[in-house]
Amino acid sequence: MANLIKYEFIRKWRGLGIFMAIVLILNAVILVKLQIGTHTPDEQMIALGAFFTGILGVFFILYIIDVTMMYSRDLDHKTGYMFMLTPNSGYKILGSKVITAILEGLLFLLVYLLLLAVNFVGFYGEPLRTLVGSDLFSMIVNQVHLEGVNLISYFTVSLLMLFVSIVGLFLMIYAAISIRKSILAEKKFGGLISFIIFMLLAWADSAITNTLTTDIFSANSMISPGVPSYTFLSIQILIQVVLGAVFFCVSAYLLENKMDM
Amino acid sequence: MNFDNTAPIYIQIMNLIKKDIILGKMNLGEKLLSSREYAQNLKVNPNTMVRVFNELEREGVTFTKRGVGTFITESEEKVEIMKKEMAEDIVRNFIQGMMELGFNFNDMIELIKSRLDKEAVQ
Amino acid sequence: MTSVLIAENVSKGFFRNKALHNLDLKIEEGKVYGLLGPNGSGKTTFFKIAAGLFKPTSGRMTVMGYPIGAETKKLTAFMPTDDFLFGWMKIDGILSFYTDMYEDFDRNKALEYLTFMELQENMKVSSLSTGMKARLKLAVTMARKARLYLLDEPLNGIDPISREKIVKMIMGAFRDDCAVIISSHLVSELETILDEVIFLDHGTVVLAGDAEKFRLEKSCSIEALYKEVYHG
Repeated sequence: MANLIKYEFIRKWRGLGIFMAIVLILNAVILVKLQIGTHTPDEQMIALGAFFTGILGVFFILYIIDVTMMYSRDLDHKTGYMFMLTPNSGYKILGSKVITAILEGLLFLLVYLLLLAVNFVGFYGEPLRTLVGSDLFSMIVNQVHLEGVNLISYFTVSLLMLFVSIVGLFLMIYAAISIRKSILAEKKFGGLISFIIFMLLAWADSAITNTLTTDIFSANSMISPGVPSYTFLSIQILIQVVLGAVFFCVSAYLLENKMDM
Repeated sequence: MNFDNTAPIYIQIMNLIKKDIILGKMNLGEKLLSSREYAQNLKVNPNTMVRVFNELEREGVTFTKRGVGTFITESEEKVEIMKKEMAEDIVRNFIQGMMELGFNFNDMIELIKSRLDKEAVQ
Repeated sequence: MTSVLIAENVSKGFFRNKALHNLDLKIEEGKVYGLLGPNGSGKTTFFKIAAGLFKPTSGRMTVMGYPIGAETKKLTAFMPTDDFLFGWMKIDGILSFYTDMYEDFDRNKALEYLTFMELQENMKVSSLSTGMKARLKLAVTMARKARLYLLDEPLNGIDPISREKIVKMIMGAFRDDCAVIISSHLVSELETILDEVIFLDHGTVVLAGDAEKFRLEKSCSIEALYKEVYHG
């Protein structure tokens, strides 16, 4: 399986490299622009904040597209034969793509955090310190402070939920693609049909999750307005993991037994 | 090596080997190359050569010494028989072909005679 | 005689559009088979099912007794007509891929074949001509020590002079413990290497048997027999 992951990365490194280069260049351009003109620390923070928020959105969209195409491209084009002829079960082939996607996501995250660090700590440490020390910031943080809840562990659990949801998302995408490819021989409108199936799966996913969480476990959902409880989050995470596993097994089974390449 | 694809290749190879023996290009008792080597030289399937060897052995043209190899018969008598058999085959085919053209036996003999005269002059 | 590939009542497709129709075949080791037939007769479909790329609608196929799957892909070397090698890779990358993915891949042998085919390791796959791509595909396929070789039209896109080279290469890699199935339109070039021939028509076997036996009984070449089967 390590070999499969290795070649998935070899296959994408060029595209990734170009993307990273573009991001770095954009970042450099903004930094230069901010240095040239006279801007207040607030303006600088806002500019960088906008940049990093925008980049996050772009990262995410491109990430999901790349993860999707990692699978759909192999199924719809003959170059997929390279992997499909190897003595690996559908589980291994799909599993390697999922692991590659996770690693790729972590890589994106790492680069993003590094850029944040370099930008804010490196260049704009002073304005950042001002911001953190400001009254506005303290007010926001105090809002977030919760009764009887350890901020760090809650943050970790939320992060886990986020991770599980993202992995769950592309397992759902893979399941939709697998189902489409198993029932439709033609490639025309393949993307559209996959999308429709994905929507159905997403609906089913949230319906099941909500039913199980609220009705069956009647989990006490909120600690305070808009903030879910540990129990709530834990149950949701568990359900997501189980559903994700189901999606994965369905996809792998279809890949192994029901699909023509 | 170009073979006539309309007839079994193994028979054609057998005839080649028999001819070589008759003409003395291969000596009595001489060891043959392995069937694989022959196959590579003649550019045929190794299985075809195995068939050739099997048939030659069956006909007594060759014999195999276990672990040593395949050898051409040491019997001069056998070679004489082989020569006769091959000649008879050629004659039989000739007569068959001529009959299909409508020649009678006398005409056939006449044709042969005149051809041989021409050959003698050269 | 060990059966390398067994196809039992294999069908692919539905109603009138069946690519394969109750196909029964037994492929034995140590033989070179010619899978012959016009376009659409089912040759490629047969290969792709054996290689695990297509799934049969009914019936079953096994290789060395195993049902088609990861286990049989270890033993099967399939060369499709399709352009499937990564275009962005260089030839040495392809060799590394095969070395990593297939235990039975012999990189040195592949290098020998590449030299024989006049290809260099630093060439990019997308820059190769059709003929060169075909030769590359064959080189990496035959450099594997598989039990079953499935070659789909290996002589296509190859100039007449190189075809003899290709046939020599295939026979060089042929061993007693493997079976080779070659599908082709170009029967004449394969006449001297075929042990058995299988004629497919509309997804089913219409004639099969020992090549030499056909020559003996019908006094014609396999090429002529082909014409007889499909025009007569």
